[in-house]
Amino acid sequence: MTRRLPPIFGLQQALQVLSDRTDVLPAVGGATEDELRADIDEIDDQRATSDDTLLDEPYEFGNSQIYVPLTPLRRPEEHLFQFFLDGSMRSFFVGTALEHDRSTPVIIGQVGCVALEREDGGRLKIAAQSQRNLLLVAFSQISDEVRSRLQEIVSKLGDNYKVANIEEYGQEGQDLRRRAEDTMRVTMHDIETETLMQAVIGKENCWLIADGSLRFAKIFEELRKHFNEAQPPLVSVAKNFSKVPRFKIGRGGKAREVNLWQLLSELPEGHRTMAFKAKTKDRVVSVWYMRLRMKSRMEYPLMGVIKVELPVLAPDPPPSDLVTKLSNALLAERTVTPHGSDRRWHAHLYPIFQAERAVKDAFVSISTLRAGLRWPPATVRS
Amino acid sequence: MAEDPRKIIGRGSATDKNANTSNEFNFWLAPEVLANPFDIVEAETYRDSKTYGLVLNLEHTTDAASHLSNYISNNFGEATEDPQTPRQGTTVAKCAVLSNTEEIYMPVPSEARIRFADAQGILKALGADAIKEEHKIPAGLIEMSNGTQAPCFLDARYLLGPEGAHLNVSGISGLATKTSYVVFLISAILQKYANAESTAVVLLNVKHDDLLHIHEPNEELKEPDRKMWNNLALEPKAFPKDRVHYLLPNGKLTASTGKPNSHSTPNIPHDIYAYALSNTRDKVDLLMGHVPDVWDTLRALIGIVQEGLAAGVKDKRWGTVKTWSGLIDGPPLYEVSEGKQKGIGEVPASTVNRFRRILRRITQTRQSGLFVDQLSRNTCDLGQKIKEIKGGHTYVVDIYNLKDEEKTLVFGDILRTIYQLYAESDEEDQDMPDKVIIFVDELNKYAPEGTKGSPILDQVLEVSERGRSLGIVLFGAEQFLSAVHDRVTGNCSTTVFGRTNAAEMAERAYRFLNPDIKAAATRLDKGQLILSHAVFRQPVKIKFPLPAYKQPA
Repeated sequence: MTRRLPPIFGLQQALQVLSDRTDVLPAVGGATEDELRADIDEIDDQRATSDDTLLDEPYEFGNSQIYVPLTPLRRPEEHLFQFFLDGSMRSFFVGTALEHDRSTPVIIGQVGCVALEREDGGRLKIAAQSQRNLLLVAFSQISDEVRSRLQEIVSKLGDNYKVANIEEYGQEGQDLRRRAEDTMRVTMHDIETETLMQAVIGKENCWLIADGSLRFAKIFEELRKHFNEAQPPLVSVAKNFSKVPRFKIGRGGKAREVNLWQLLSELPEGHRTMAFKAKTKDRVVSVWYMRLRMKSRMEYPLMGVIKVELPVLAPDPPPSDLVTKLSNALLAERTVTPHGSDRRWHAHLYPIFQAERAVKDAFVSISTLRAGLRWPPATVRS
Repeated sequence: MAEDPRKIIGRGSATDKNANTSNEFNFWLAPEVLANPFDIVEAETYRDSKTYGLVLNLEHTTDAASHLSNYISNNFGEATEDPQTPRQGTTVAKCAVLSNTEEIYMPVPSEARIRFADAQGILKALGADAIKEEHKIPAGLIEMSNGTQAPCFLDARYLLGPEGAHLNVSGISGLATKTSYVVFLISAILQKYANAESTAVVLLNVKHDDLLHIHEPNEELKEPDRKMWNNLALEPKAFPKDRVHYLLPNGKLTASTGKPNSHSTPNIPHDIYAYALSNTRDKVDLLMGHVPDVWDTLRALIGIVQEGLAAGVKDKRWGTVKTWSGLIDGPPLYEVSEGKQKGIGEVPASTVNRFRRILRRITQTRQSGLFVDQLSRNTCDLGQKIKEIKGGHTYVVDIYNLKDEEKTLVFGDILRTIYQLYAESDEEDQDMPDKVIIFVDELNKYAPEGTKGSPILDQVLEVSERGRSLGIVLFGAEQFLSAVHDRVTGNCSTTVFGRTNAAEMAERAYRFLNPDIKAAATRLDKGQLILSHAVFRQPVKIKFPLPAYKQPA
């Protein structure tokens, strides 16, 4: 039996640099876990779709109905979705580093992504997995000497370690700990892209479901590189989504604009909406909504509804048959659910829930981190 | 392709709420693996050592928070369709630690590799590898879910003395196969025990003619059973007929037909035993053990009677008493003077009358024919026959057709005779076997729980508590272990259970068993037993072959 420390403890050496070269105020009571915002999925979707709040163009070829009935496409019949991808992150505030009148929070972050593969018999297994361990500080608040020493030390730990600048993303004036979350999210998108490509390349007949929006630049870049204008075999599913978009339904003089509530209030169980064109810069997706569960059993109308995005690389919209087939297969994913384990169970796809769990299980817990990662005493004073 | 019996079947699992300890560990099973309670597994642990564990129970857990979650997860009760993704779950086995090859009792770590133990590992796990070859008695076959089999050996020093002794088998009639097992074990002892030539066996036949054909081979023994006998390095053979002696009871018609009072008559020479007053005078107490005697007056009278009968002609009052009817209806117990009957010594006349009434009922009005006025040429004194027992020989005493008091007398007679024989023998007595095994079914009738002071119980306790050092070994069987006196069961170094019902398993007598093992005992199949032996660290489940002697129809 051999004992192996979790990889994140490699960052202890970076903490030593900060101890030696800055004044450190350790977090009161040891490291504290930064909570993710409860509605982070929705905020994320809002950001991804902020450029495109009016979806006025149907984006499927062969259907003009607003609501399309679905029939579950089950695994024994055709095992369409075989890969499930989710990324997650966890961060710990470990203290504040002070240099003269400058200060920066010191945050340790774990970012991971897992693609699960479902065998024809239904068993799930990990198909691809990656994780990064981050040390986040505000570069503007530390001297170049400290920053380069940190980067030097951390680069020696390997590709899975990184010193990140808290201020690289987010908005000026925003709380630094919140900006650290945004920085981590970008890293998460990067490794989601890596993991996704690892999972789907060479398996074009097996479709993948990714959790959350995929409308970020890097992934489209990679998809174009590998698929050119062909249809990549993946959809993204959002269980919490922006309520901002408005939709134009109907044709000619009968056309009318409705908001999301109006669109979804009439959506029956086991139906999808027509697909709309959505665009973020040059990244086009066909987007539609589906009601997975009986409205009468839910507490409010948007429960049990998911938003589906199909990245479209070709200049033409996807055929309606494909959209419906994908929807049929997604409808079959409604059993089983993480009811009782996740408050988003009504819109959560179980294999995605398992992918999320696999990512989080690979992270160290706050108690392990507190026990193993401590501010070391300074050994030199610059 | 055959499955690799040494493949990894799972990994150790310890959680924040369910820790592994020095006594217990858990492991999850790989999805395709089948395991069962009583499988023996090995875990790779510290310093290349192995920790062996006995699977006590298996639990299937899933990530469903509640049953309601499962209902809702199937689209609010859709029962006919299979879920698109089966719920994540695993089967976790709970194991009792048996041993570690390097005596390291650190808890089995999480993720430790788990395999089924091999045949050698099973013996090591139980501590049976330390039993010397000359002390090994095959007691059945341990069979695991992956098909691995290992013979289960008992240590003769703990089964037959001197370190421990006595065996008890309990379980539901018909399903527990108690008698078959005991006779199988005795057969194994006579074939494998180093001192078998100096071991005598006394079997009491209590049901039909179950044990009245042990010298005849079982022609219906099937190949799998023969194979099992062979796997245990035993020959599937009946008891040699030149070494089997049947002692059958006298019946009311024996004098005219010559036939004993038995369900059937063995086809080899046999003896018929009976009880005349002359060979019962020191055993009268055994006849009245069941009679309530709060003030000890009856026992005092029995003492006087036994003393008087023993004195014989030396005592004028008792010298003329030669028969049962003479004892009951003649002097000194029945003398009418001055118009009323008198007592004897300090025993009042009412007690004397009660004694006579009971004795008349047992020996005259309700007797099976066992009691005779005089032994004839065709009948023998059972006690005398027992005194002549020889090593390597088996004596079957049939008591099936006897009344309860008669059965008690016969069993008590055997115990008392053998005990006195050994307790009073000289070490130089070359003719006596070193060991005598006495097997009786329905032991609870003779040593019931919660009683004290009966002559037969005293006799059983005597053998249970002191027989080990004398070489007298009691093999008892009964339906309910809890119905037997705890000083008797407590002295058994080997305890065996067949199928037992849950209510019985809740009794105090089973408190030494793990609750999971108790639960397993309620679902044992016919021919499966749970065996607890002084040398073993935990009870094991065994199976044993059908008897090699002729089975009654």
